[in-house]
Amino acid sequence: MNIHDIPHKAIRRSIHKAALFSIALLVLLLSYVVYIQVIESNTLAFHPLNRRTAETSRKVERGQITDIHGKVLALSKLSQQEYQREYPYDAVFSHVVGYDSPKYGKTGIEGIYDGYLSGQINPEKRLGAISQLFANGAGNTVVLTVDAQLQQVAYQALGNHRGAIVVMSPKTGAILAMVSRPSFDPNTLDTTWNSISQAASSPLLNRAAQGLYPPGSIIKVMIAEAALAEQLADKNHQFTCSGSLKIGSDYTLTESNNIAHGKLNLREALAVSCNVTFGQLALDLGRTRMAKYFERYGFTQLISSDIQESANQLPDFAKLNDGDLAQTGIGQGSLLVTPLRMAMLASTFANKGIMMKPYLVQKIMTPDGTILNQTSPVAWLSPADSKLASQVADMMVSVVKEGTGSAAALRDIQVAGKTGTAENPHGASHSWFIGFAPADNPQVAVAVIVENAGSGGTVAAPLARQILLQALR
Amino acid sequence: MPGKLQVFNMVVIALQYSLVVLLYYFLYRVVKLAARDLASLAIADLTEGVVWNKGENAAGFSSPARLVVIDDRQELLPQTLYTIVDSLTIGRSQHNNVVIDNSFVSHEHACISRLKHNYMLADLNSTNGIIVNGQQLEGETALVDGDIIQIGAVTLKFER
Amino acid sequence: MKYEKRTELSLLLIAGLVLLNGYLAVTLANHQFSYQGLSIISALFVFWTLISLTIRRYFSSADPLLLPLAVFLASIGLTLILRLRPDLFIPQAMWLSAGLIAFIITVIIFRQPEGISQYKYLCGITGIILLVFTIAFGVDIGGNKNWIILGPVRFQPAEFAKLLIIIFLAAYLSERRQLLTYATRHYGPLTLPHPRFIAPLMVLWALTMAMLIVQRDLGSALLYFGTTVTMAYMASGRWSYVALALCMFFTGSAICYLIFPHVQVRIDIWLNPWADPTGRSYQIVQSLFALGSGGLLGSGLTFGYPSIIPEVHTDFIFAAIGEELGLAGTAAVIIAYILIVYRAFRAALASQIPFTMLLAGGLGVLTALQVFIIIGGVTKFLPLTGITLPLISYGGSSMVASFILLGMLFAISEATATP
Repeated sequence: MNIHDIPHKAIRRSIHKAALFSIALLVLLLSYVVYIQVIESNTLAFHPLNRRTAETSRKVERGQITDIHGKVLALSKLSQQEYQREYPYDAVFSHVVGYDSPKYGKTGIEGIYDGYLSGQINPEKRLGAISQLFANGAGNTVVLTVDAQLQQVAYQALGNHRGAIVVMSPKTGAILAMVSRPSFDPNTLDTTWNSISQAASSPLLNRAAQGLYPPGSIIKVMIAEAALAEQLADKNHQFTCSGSLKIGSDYTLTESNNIAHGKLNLREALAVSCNVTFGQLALDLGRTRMAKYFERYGFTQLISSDIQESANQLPDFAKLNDGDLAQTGIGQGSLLVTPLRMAMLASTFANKGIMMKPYLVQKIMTPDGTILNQTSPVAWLSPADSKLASQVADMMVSVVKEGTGSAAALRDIQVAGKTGTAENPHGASHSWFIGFAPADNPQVAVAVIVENAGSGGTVAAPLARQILLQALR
Repeated sequence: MPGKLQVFNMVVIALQYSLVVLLYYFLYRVVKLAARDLASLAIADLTEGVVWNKGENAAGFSSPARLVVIDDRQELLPQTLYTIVDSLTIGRSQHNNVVIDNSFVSHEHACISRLKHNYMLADLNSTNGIIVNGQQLEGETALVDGDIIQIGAVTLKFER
Repeated sequence: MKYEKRTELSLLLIAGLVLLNGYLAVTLANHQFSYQGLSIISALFVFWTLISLTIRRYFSSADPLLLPLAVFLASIGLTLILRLRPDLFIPQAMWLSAGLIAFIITVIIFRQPEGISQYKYLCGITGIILLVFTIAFGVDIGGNKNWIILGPVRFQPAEFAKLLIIIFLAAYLSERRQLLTYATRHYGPLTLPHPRFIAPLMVLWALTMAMLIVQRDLGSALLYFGTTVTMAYMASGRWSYVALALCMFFTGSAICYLIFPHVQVRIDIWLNPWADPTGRSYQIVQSLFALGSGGLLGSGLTFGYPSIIPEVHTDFIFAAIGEELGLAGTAAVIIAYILIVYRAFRAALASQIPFTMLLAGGLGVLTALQVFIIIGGVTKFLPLTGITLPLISYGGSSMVASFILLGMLFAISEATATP
């Protein structure tokens, strides 16, 4: 009764192939489901739009957020059977800590560490339904690296100006303070949301990590290091400043106030922030090497960390004409950076040429004090040689000692710094200062920007001085 | 009574896990059975091959249809009789059941296939056509016993 | 007792335990336990055991894994329905019984499967009429525009039409497979079949395109088309069919994408669901959240929040399994489908007659594609579509049609079993 002729063999062969294809489809599907449920699991489970965390968090006491000394920055209080979030420092920490609103979602630490704060990331969760038995009454505590007192001083220092201050430890990358003004009070979000979300001054924006500004003259510290590294200048090389630099037929780079600095070396050029010298150095470095140095200092990549930053904007070096290249060398043109990156730039020269990865969270603890996670400092990039970095650091000391940054000087402690006055299309120049102290053993690095406030030496430098004073107390 | 509640909760939780265990116990049993029967299928395949080698005429049809070569003056065909088991193809290409190596014949020239109780002869759009009982074939036709099929220099008789 | 019978009964017992365990896990946790529910489960258990005992009197050597696999998946489905929509538990249990009855009827009709091939045109035409009817008069219920309402009866004819069309294709293709294989024309480097022989395939292509345009149903279009093409390939062994069909399908789809905004919307949601997560892509985003939140072992039945997803008891039931039973549950479901597909192809390969070979193979392809398209849809692997997860989703048409499919496979496996 068997008919085993050739066509049946052929059909069998193609059915066999179709079978393999069908089963392969389902196996492919299975592996994709594994990917979603294992690898993407945490991202999806704690996505800010996933209402599951909100549903459970209403029943669970959300964890606290504290500063490095344990001062509470955010806590949950029970009112009418439901937990509500309170922020004792009002607007001072709003950009760092963020907010947790049932209506407007979560931002900052509240958003990024939601899984821990809501208690949903815990080891038992992996065990499935049994975690219901272990369900502890409260979420985990997130301890930040910031110092509440320093943060308050920085917040007060900016006053009613728009601007930002970043203070960090150059040796570890720990953020000690991060202030952005104008700010908002996360306690009253429900009533003020419309006005703050539409205000022209964008109080919701964290200017410290997401505000993009032309760096102005503070970028010269990086150009100085590049010039030393490429041997376009040494300590004693003499530059000549005639007050203006003619580039091509139709472009002239001028000094502010049209002062001719005359003959000067690199240290003196940095101290007086000589545009002609640094414009010329940018031209000498050329397009390729300029691009290379911006890349070395990390401007082309994002830091993957717990700080949400905006990407810095660099000019397209290959298409830049000479005039714009010289402008980039003095921090103008289409170059835009964040204050966080400028604090990291200062830190690099304070830390022997090594750029540490910035971080905000020191550790995460369960309610009973067991440490779940602890951050250890990580070197992110090593853009400069340690010898050259200390040469630049010395030059930055002269900036404060005898140059444009004298308003940042402290009585017994040597401060290194650089001022910047960044022209911009929105009105008066932005006032910049970056620096660190003590110069011989740096403990703290700072970046200050005050929007449309004028010269860096007269506005930002004195603010930096207050902050350094508080930080080194 | 918190103790009793706790025990109840633990039973509820235990049921969650026993469900997963049961799911996989079931699948384990099924996979085990499927694997065993796959092994026996492989053995059956081997014996099948032996049966096939013995010759295709072991088919249980009372009178298998066949093509008898009645005229092959150029000696193009290796056989004088072809059985049509379920279908049969004629053409110049090597994959045909009846290979006629002559440029007059198209690569895929004709095909006979069984449709229930009929054998259908189809012209596969050959260049030079087929002559059935002296008539040029258009499209397909049902063959009856004794039909004379001419393809190029070859003449075949259909018998069933 | 015969080996097949013993195997089937013991597997059915385990599937029954799955249902009992699921019932207890859900009802004890949400305090809805009732002896009425327990007696429904017992009745179902007795019913499928009786079905197995009856059917084994006449079909002693048919595949003993098919019925238990179906009951296993249906038990998971019932548990989830009980968890998600307790009010639909009893109707779904009735649908399961109806499915079991449909199973036994189908097995009897198909006891000599080769005989069915003579009704091929009846099957094909009825199938196409059902489809055209749905395309023309389909009513939108719960987002799927494929319901037909006749007085008090509401059903989804497309579920049955696909089975009829597969019967037709299996008969048509098995009779003409020589023509399809060898009757070719050369178009430059391409070797394509003669137009005369692919006319029915072209008709199906036109139907799928109509489905895409009128019903906005990319999933069904893909399902019908994929099954047709794979069957044509199985019959002819020619890749040119697959190549031609893929070209036609993608050209057709691309034209639809360019012309019809609703097709565009579906594709855009698929490509970038995060562009509008609270609006148009709400469902898919919520489905992904559910799957991600489930992780490896899930939250446990009743401990998750699957009701956030709209239509969770029909199209999105897989996401609910993913949330509450985790990967452990979803993988078990997919593995069970793989086993059904495997058994279908096994029946096809063990068969001796081209018609039953193609029929079983076609049913295997259909099951695989349907599972692939719907699970692919809720996991964002493919654009989202509105077809049901066989045997698990809530719904009568789908449940009955799935059991008819399994009944056919069961009968084919009996007819081909070598004693």
